[in-house]
Amino acid sequence: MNIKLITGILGAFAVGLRNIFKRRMTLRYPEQKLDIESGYTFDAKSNTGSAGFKGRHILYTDKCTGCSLCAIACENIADCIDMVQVEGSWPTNPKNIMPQIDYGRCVFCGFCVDACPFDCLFMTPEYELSATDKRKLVHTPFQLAVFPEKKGDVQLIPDDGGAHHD
Amino acid sequence: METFEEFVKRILTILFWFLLLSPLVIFPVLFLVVPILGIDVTTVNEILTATIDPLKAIKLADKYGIGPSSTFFKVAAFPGFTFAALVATLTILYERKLMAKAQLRVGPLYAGRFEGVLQPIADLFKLLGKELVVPEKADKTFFWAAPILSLGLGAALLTVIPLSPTTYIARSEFSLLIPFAIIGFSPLVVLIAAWASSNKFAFIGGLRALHQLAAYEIPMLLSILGIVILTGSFDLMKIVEAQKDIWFIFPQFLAAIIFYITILSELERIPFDLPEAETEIVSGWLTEYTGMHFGLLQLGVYVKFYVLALLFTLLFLGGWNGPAFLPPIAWLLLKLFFVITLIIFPRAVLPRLRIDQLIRIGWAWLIALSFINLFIAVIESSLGVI
Repeated sequence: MNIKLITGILGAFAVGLRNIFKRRMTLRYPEQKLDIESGYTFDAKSNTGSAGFKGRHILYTDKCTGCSLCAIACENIADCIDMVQVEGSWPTNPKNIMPQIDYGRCVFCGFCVDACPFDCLFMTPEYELSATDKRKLVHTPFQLAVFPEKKGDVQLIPDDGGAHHD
Repeated sequence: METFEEFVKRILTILFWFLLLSPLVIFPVLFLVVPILGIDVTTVNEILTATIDPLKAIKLADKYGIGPSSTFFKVAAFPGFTFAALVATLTILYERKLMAKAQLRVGPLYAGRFEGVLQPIADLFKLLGKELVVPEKADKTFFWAAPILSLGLGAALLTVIPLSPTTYIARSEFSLLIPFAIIGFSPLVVLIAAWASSNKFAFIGGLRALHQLAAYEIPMLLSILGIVILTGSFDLMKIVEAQKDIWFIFPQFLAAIIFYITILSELERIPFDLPEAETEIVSGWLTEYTGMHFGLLQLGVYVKFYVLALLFTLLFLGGWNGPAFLPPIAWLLLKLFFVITLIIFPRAVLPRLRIDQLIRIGWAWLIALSFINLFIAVIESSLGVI
C-alpha cells in the first residue's frame, strides 16, 4: 500500500464529485437539434477555406461552368461525383453538364469545394440525409441547388469546461 | 410512438374502468350468494365502506389481525419486506442517476416527466414481459430455486434489525450476530445459481464469488468485535443506546473503514466486482438468468445492500440518535441515505482489482488491520473511553 495508490483513489473520488455539478453536453437528438450557423465554404481568389460544417453540398447552378474539376478531385477519394447532362440553357455552361453527388459514397472531405474555381460548390449544415432507398441517396444537380431549411434551435455555449447547450 | 407515460396512463385507465364496473359483479355476489352461505351481512357492508374510507379499512384490518400494529403487517410491510424492497428499488434508480452524473452522462431520462423517476416501474414492466429462458442442460430445480433463495436470504436479514426504539419486527439479545449468520449463507446461493446454470462463465463467476466472500467475511466479523468489546452486548438496541454521546466511528475509525471495504466486497461492487466482471466473464454467475429470475436475484442483492448499509448506520453512525427536532426514524433514514451514497460512489470512479490483489487485501491486510483494531478496542475499553 503506497501513498500513490491512496492519493490516486482520492483523486478519482474528487473528479467524480466535481463532475456531478458540471453541466451536461448531452443533446437529446430527435427532440433537440443543434443550431449550426454556416457550412464549409472556400474562397478561390484568396485560397482560404472558412470554418464551417461539412454537410450536404449546395450547387449554384447559375455559376457552374461544367469544368468537372470537382469530379476529378473526388476521383481517388470517394468517387461519388458524376457529371451529368442537365436540361435547359445555361449561359455559363455550354456543355450543359453539372455534378451529381452519391451520398452513399461521399465522405464529406470537402475537396470538391476546394477544387471549384468559380465559387459555385459549397457545403451546408444539412446532415439528415438518410433515405429508405439507396437510389434516393443520389442527389441530382437540381436537388443540390435547393438551399436546405434551418432545423436546429439549440445554441451551443462555450464555457471553461468545454461547452454546454441550453 | 407511445411514450412510457402514455403507457402508464393506459394501464391506469383500464384499472379505473375495471374498478368502476366491478360492482356489477360484486354486488350480486355479495347480496345474493353470500347470505345463502350464511355470512354476516354487516361484514359485507364493512368491506364495502372500507374500500373508500382508509380509517375504516385500518379498523377492519385490525379486526382480522393484519392492522398496522400486527406482526403480519410488520413482517410484510413497514419495517419488513415491502419497505426494504422499496428502498432497494429507489437505490437502483439513485445509483443509475448518481453514476451517470459522476461520469458526465445523463442517466435515465425518458420514463417520467422529471429526470426519469418512473424508470424502476418501466424496468419492472420490461422484466415481467420477458421470456424466462432456462438452459437445456441446466439443473432445473436449482436453477429455479436460486432466485427465490436469494430473495429469501435478503428478506431473512430484515427480521431482527431495528429502525427506531419502537419500530422493529422482533427483538433478540443477539440481533448483531443473526444477520451475520444469515449472510454466511450467501456464497451458497451464488454457488447454487452458478452450478445450476451449467455455463462456464457462470461457474467461473461462482467460484470467484466463493473465494471472495469467504475471504471477506472474516474481517467483517472481526471488525465489529471491537464494538462488542466496547458495549459488552450483541444487542443492536443497546449498541445504538451506547452511542448517545459519541458515535462509534470516532473511537473505532479503523473498524469503520474495514467494515466499509468488506461491505463493498460482500455486495460484489466495483472495485470488488470480480464475480460479475462483465468485461471478462460476460455477467458472471448471473449470465444465464433472464426476465424475472434476474429481477429476483437483483432484488435479493439490493435488499442485502439495504441491510448492510443499515448495519453500518447502526454500528458506526449512531443509528437513530440525533437532535430532537426530527423523529428518530428520520435521522436513521438521513444517515442511511448518506451511507448508500458512500457505497454507490466507488462504482462510478474506480477500476476493477485482479483476483490475486483481492485475495491479498482480504487475507493479509484486512485481517491484520482488524486484529490491530481489536487491540485498540481493548485499550479504549480499559481506559474507559466509552
